[in-house]
Amino acid sequence: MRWTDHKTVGLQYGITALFFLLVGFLLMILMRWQLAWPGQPMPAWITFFVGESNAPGGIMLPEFYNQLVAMHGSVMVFLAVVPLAAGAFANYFVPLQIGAPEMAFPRLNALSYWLYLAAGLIMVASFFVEGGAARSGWTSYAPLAVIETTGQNFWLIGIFLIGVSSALNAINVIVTIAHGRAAGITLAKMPFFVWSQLITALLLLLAFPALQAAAIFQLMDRVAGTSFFLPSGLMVGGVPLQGVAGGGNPLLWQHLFWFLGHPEVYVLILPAMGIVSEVITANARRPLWGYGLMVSAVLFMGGMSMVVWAHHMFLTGMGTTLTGFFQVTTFIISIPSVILISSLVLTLWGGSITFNTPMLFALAFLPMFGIGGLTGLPLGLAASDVTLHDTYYVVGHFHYLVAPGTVFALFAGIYYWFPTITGRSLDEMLGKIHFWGSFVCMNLIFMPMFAIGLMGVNRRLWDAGASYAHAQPTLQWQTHMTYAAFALGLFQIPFVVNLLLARTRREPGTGNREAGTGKREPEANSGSHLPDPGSRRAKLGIWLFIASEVMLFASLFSGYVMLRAGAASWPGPVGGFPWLETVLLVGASAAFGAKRSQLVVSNTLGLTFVIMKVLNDAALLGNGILPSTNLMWACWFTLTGVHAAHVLGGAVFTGWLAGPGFSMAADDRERWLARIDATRKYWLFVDLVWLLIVASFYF
Amino acid sequence: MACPICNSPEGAAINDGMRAGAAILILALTVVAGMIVRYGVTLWRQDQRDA
Repeated sequence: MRWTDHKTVGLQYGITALFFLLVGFLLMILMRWQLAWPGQPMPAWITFFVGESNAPGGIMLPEFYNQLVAMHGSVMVFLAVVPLAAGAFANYFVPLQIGAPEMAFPRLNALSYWLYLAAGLIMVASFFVEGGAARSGWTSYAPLAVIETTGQNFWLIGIFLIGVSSALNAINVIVTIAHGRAAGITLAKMPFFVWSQLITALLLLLAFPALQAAAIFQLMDRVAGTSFFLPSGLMVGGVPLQGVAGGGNPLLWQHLFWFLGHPEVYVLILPAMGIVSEVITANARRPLWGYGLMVSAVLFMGGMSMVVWAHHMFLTGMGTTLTGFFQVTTFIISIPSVILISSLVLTLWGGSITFNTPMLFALAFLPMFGIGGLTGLPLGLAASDVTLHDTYYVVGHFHYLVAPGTVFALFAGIYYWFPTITGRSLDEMLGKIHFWGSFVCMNLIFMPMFAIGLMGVNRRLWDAGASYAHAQPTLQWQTHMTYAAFALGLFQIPFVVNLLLARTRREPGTGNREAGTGKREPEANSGSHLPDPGSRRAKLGIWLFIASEVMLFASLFSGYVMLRAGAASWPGPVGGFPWLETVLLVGASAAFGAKRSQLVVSNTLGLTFVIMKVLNDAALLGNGILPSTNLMWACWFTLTGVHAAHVLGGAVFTGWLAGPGFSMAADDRERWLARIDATRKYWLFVDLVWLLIVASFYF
Repeated sequence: MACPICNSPEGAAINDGMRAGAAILILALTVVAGMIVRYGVTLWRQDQRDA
């Protein structure tokens, strides 16, 4: 086994994501217990696992319930469903479907998995720190999240690492598709599954940096005492919050969070569409209806998904201009969704349909996604969102998209490709028990949420609304939903048993193997490299990396501009032009070249810049100028700090090129020059960011 | 422009800030996405030529 092999990485992603799916499910079961019987003691054995401190006498504390809410959402979205959809399936099947022998950057690909695993473990480990895990919802809204316990720091660090992991994975997928296709597989002939993964990768690449920037801001608020998200005069428990400069804006968090948060919905849905298209075409024995239309729709959907984010913020009073803009874009994006679903349904027309387990899951995806999508329309209208926002209706809406929607598609993919991956088949009877049980239970859990929400019951209530008169009629439904959740858990047992029993079934799979993967043996393409070893891959790779970095710094600058333009007054510019730093940095880029001496000079100048930055910061801190002094200094310390980290990264890599990496200069000249060219672009980007920082803070 | 919700000058300033910040995000995204689309079109044409 090679750790960098795309199938190994795909399986690692898949197995780990399924583990986190189980973790998220167990957190949900605990939540559902509390919602069904609020204030009543849990069984002793559950209390044992939860801990007496979280449930004294077996009665769950509201603080622990909040942890369950936040971590269920975070684990399911960031650690289970997205890694399974965009990590596991993309890594395993994209190279197979386009005839690529390997992913474009196998080592970076493996690194993306290990970073994801580390992020997941860090986030889950936060349950064991003092105060417990994050408890401000999966959205971690400020200012609540800023003043929460230590677990929130773990959440933020985990999210940042997931962002890095996603970027590495996305770059790999995009470059592999762009330059790894076998002869004859043109873009117009790529399977729709590959298109869906391509757009998903682009969304992850461009949207995640905004949440990373937001995580940096929030970490600064929590650790360095800044107030990016803390407004002036904030009261906590009736007492003014002490020791913060104030002037920040909680809505900045929401903008940056949803800039990722909404495209993340399409990151869930698009791979699901791709998987379902594979399963339906194979089991209806029909080609995809409207392939060109579907590809156009998915491209349009990907683009539009980046400009709908603030429909989650209609109630923040962000003004009619922004509200109008985001309302219109939200309704426009429903058009490609309808095209995709319609095309999948029309593919069935005239087909000879086999109702095997993967097909049942794929067919169930269509109406479930339809319900999820249609119930989203009233939320996209600002007027109706006023009453529906933050109610159980919203919970029902997005769970229909993610749970019986995306998760069903992922199950379809697992059943469909299991024989291809393992050479063993799954039992149909167990599969159908799994499907029908899950289908019925999912609807029993989530359908009542629409009614509960329409009756005005808020989400995230620890007691399910027991203390509110208008929620009384809905409490018995909560109990029924909990029973359905327990049953849903029981119906997953046939799936696990099926996987375990498959070890004994050596016969090859059914017709599933015929489609999509072209009957390739799993090991047939291991151990080789892409046919294009040189400049094209490296060039596109570095441009995509820089694109992601542009979005990171754009998000940081966006925060700076939001705060500065929104401030009643802003302190004067930072004194003195940073001549020395500028000369050092520009010198590092100018000196950079293919010769060892050039690399050494560049490395030295880059490191000197970082040392200068550290000394400057120390001098400022010594003079009492801290990140917490005011918003201007908060922005300055944060932006220059992130920039300095980039310079350090560039200098270290340049040093590596001059040292251990220099052997490539003689061994493989073409790759060496491509690597030099890519690194030079990075240095120029770092220069440009520095000039923007200087223009923003020194004039 | 005064804030359409609360009509206060502070609210107006915050709204202006929100619009400016959101505009920067959209602008950066437009530039980056535009370059990616341009690359995609080039790739598509190259594909058609080679096919």
